[in-house]
Amino acid sequence: MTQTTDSTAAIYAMIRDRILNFTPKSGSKLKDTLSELYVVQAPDNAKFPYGVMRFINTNRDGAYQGYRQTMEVEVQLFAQPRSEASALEVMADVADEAMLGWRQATSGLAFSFEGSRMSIPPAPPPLNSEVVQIRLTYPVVVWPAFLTQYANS
Amino acid sequence: MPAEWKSNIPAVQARLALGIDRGLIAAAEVVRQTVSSELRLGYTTGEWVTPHVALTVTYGSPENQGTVRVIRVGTNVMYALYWEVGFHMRLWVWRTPDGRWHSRPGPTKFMRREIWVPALNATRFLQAAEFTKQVKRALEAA
Repeated sequence: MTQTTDSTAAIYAMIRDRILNFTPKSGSKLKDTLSELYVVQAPDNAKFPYGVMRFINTNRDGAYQGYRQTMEVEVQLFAQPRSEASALEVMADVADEAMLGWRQATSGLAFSFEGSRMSIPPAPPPLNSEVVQIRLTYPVVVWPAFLTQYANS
Repeated sequence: MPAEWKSNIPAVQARLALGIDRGLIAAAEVVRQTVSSELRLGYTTGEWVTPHVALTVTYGSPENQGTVRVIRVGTNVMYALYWEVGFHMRLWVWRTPDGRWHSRPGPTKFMRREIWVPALNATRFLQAAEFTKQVKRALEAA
């Protein structure tokens, strides 16, 4: 797919594509193991295992005159029942591999440089303790084309 | 009488370390107050709110994490984590016009109300300002 930073939606599509279609050295692509990787919110009837990705803490620092955007890409993976926990950890590994040292310079500039991961402990009643949940976050820096186009004006 | 040079660097380093710790505490207090205020509004409609989580927001002492000095802000109430990262409900809960609550097993519904991370991000400039103030005070007292 065409990688652009022409809009926030395009940046979402670019990172989503990276995560879903990355070929790990061993194992399967996430597009073959996840039912879907939703953006921002999954429907109530989402089929397990699925993922939800979202940009959080998007900031534009005055030190770069607002052209440089930093944010965290949050990816949450869900599976059910709890016996699927190991398989979900493998999927989380693939997401980590996809975002490891990712960079894109064909439209604006975007790159990731680190990440963190938390396997959420089983939830107590009345929450559903059979749902396995892993939260991944990747700080990303973007010089998006929709902002940098104004740099010389 | 020959001039004598004496290094004051150890004293400055000690004041700087003190300022950093005080700065971290000041920044943590900003986060604590913001999160605590938000938690008092409740997680959903605000109809049924107890100050249980709001009263337990606290912070630790500055500690080393590798070469960096950090401070942790948090709560020991576990369900605050699930509201922050989201959870799947096991039951459908609803209220009938007579005021009674009912529940039944149903399809899992995802719920989430983020308070901590947005508060951390929204107050980042205020945290930095309070931190800087403490470091400046410590160095000026030297």
